[in-house]
Amino acid sequence: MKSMKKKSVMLTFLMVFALSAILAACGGNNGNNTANSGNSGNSGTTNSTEQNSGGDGGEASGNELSGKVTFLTNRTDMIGKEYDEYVKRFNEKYPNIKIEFEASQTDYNQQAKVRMASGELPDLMFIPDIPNSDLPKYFAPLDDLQLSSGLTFKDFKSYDGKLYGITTGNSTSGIVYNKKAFADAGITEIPKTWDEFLAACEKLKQNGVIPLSSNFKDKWPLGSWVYDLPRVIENNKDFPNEIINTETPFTMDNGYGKAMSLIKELADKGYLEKDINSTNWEQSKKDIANGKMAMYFLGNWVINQVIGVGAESDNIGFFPLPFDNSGDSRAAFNPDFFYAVNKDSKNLEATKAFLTWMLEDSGYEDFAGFISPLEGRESKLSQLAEFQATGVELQEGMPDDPKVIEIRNKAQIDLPAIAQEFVLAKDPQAVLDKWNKAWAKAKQELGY
Amino acid sequence: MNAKKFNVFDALKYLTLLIGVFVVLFPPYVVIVNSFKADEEFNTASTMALPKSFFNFENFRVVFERGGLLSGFANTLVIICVALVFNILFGTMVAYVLGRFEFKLKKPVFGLYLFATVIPSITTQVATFGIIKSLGLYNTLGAPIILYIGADVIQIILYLQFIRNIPFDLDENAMVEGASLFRIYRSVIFPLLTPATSTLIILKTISIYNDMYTPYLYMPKQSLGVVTTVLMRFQGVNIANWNLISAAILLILLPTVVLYIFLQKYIFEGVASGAVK
Amino acid sequence: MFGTMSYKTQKKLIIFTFLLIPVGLLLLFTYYPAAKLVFYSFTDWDGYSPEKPWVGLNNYKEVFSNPDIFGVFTHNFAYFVMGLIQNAVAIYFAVILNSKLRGRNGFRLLLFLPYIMNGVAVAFMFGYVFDTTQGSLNLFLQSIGLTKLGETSWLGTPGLVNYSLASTGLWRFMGYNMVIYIASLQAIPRDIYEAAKIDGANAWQTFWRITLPNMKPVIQLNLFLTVTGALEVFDLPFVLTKGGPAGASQTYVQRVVDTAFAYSDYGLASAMSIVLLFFVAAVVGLQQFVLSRGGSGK
Repeated sequence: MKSMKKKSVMLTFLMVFALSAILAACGGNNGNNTANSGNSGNSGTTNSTEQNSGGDGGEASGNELSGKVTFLTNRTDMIGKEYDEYVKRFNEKYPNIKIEFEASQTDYNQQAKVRMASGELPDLMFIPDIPNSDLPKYFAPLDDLQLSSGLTFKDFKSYDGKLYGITTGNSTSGIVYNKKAFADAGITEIPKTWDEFLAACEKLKQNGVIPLSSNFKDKWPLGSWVYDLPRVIENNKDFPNEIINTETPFTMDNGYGKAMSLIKELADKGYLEKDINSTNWEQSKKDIANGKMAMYFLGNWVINQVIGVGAESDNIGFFPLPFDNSGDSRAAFNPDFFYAVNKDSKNLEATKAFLTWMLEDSGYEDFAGFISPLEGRESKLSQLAEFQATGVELQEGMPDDPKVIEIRNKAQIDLPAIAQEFVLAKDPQAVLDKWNKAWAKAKQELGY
Repeated sequence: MNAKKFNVFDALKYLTLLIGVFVVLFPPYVVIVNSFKADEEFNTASTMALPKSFFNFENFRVVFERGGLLSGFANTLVIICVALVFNILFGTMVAYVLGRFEFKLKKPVFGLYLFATVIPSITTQVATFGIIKSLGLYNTLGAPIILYIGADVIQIILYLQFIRNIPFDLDENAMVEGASLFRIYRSVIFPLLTPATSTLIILKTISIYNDMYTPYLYMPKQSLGVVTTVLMRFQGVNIANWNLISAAILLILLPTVVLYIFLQKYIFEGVASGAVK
Repeated sequence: MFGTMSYKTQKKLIIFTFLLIPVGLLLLFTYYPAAKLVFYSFTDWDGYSPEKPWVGLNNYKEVFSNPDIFGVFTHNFAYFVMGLIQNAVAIYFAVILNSKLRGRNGFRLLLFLPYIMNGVAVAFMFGYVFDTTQGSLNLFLQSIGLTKLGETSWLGTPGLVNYSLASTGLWRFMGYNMVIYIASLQAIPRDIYEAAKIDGANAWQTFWRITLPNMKPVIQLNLFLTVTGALEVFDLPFVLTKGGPAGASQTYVQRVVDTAFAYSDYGLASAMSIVLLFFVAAVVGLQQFVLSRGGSGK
């Protein structure tokens, strides 16, 4: 029954496959060859010589530097767009350096760690969540980079007096808002106390606008509430590290409990999205731009993204979140990801040249809406000037204590996830108790 | 049978079938209509609304230009073809040996293949990564190819089932005629395993085409994108455009849907016989 | 040359040459990583650094003493329930499409369609479907007048989120099961039905007494696949919810991956994987036992 006809069709099908497979095999081999030839040079040994020759860096030696630099980036949206333009400009200066981008999406950490385990790192990358004591094992010291001015957040990723990581850009967290939405709701002045802030939220809500876009579901947008606000409330930039001394880091009357209570209050009063468990990051940017939503509590980097989806720059403002009724005004100032260079890179000098160029000339910080990693460079973001004009005190972040990281990992503590649980819970104290218990257990097991 | 009752039953059948079809087509519908909307239109109009024009190919153009979709298709095709050739070769070889001969290590080898189906591969990736790296295959098309060939055992299981149904008489007749064992494999067993081979081609093609994890982890290089990783690139960390993603989804679904419509008969047969009996 | 050898020599040569590469690959890519996994499970390895401190059975003690770890299996349960529904729906459509029906090929074609769709594309698609305010599901529910239901937070309600995610699996794989069931229906000899008709059995009796018993082995097999599939769910929550809200949709494998990479505890994650491996092996062992008994009983 399943006769000749079927067989012959099947055979043709097979033959087509077999043929294309032969063709494909050639293509596949080509791919392998090029990659292998790239891998063949042994790394490590060339390090010292290259480092010496790199001392005089800069314009003069630009033409001589050559090689291929791979850059593992999470800004996949820039590949084929802004990055292409960067490479074009970079190659005007260094025509013999080839830049290749590798894309990593949401789990940069995981991808980076798997590659670290087998020593298969790209030349340039961002530092994943590892203790600073591990930095020298994977990354090259960057103290010899020739930069026009000093670096911000130099101590963050340094170990034993050597610099291993350079911030890609800095930002301060605050309230990014749609000015027209504020005006339409009858808010004439930016709120200076928490009560005024709540009153503003109420006016916005009455006017049919969602007061604050939390992007609760995506978890990471809650970072400002749990990484920045607690230490700002405590007025102690070392607060996140000082919890090493306690068995109960999460209490209602310390920075963590207070900060999480603030967002819970907003949620309970209906000042966040209609359903905080089904928020949509992309949509929220458009809604901030068109005024359906009024505010974000995020870093200033988001400003350019809101403008990017169609908001007029004049219509977007930025002010510090008034976290209590004292009238004190403080905001956290933080580095973003950190660049690092693979210590076994075969093209160490080329990589450093590209990194220097990214810091000095690319204009990435302006595109991304960051404050420059280089000291003394003014940001082009007008909103930032507006923010600073309020007289806010900027509180710089501190590097994480490796012991705190260790305990957090052992106890599987993920602060934004705790904030989610806290906000959703009927009994938030129980959430804090639960995580205090996990913290204390891990702390004890590790012997700290 | 009562004619009236029959009609009620029939109506009910059709009703449930139509509900089923509606459920199946509903999610793709949303993707299709949005892939034709320009940014402006997408931002303002309802998600469910039809686009102003079905001839707005702008999104597709952008996807092709920016996404490297063509090279994604090419890479995927290469991976599928090479992996299939070796799967077929190794699968039939192992099945021939295990299905036709008695030898001391037969049971242990058979057991190794069976037990391998139980090992959750996602959790062994650090060790696997080390192997790929030491073979020098990291960031080459060779990485997924060798993993699809070496780390998957479905083809062995499939061929083993089929070879049981090929009568031993055929081997014996060939032996009487003086054929070598290799010749029996090549001229008797291999051709008679063709139905299993077509099943394998279908099942493997679907699974490789859909796999995201292997290429994502082992080939981050930009020029080595496959369809799934190309699609994921559109969903950057902070920025993505849904109408563009819709267009990308549609472009990626299109080839499989077309193939499916043309090869449906074989696909159904393949799936049906691929289920372990 | 080959033909001149004795069959005995040929046999040895064939066994050796035909098995060498495939078994080598199997050992290299399946058993070597698995052995490594066992080794890691006795260490306190962070997943990337060269030091792998030996900690003995500590990780296994942690797996069995920390109630949170097995607790996530309650999330996996939803996938099991939806898997049962999926099989029931698949059997229903298989029986319908196996009867004389106008357009049955078209219906089969459409109902199977999701199976061939790219998984990442499907996940993105459903992210859109399930959105509470903009999502097409709620917009549709509202448009047919179910306003209250149309405000459901499909991926944001703890408890419901797992069923929503699992229903995506149902959507995608129902057609696959259906096609398998149709094949097993077609394998039932016609004359049994003829005989039943002569005996005066009605449609329901025929289904209950003839169709179902004949499909039993295939149904059993699919049910076991449902169980192991439910134990190993990973990709859907990984793409759609990342385990949220507040961990309500975290599955066991997702937790393993988080433990390994987000919390740098590869040793514990390895122990968790080994435990999962034993569970799955137990289910498969049970399956072999049941199926072989069913087979000999006939």
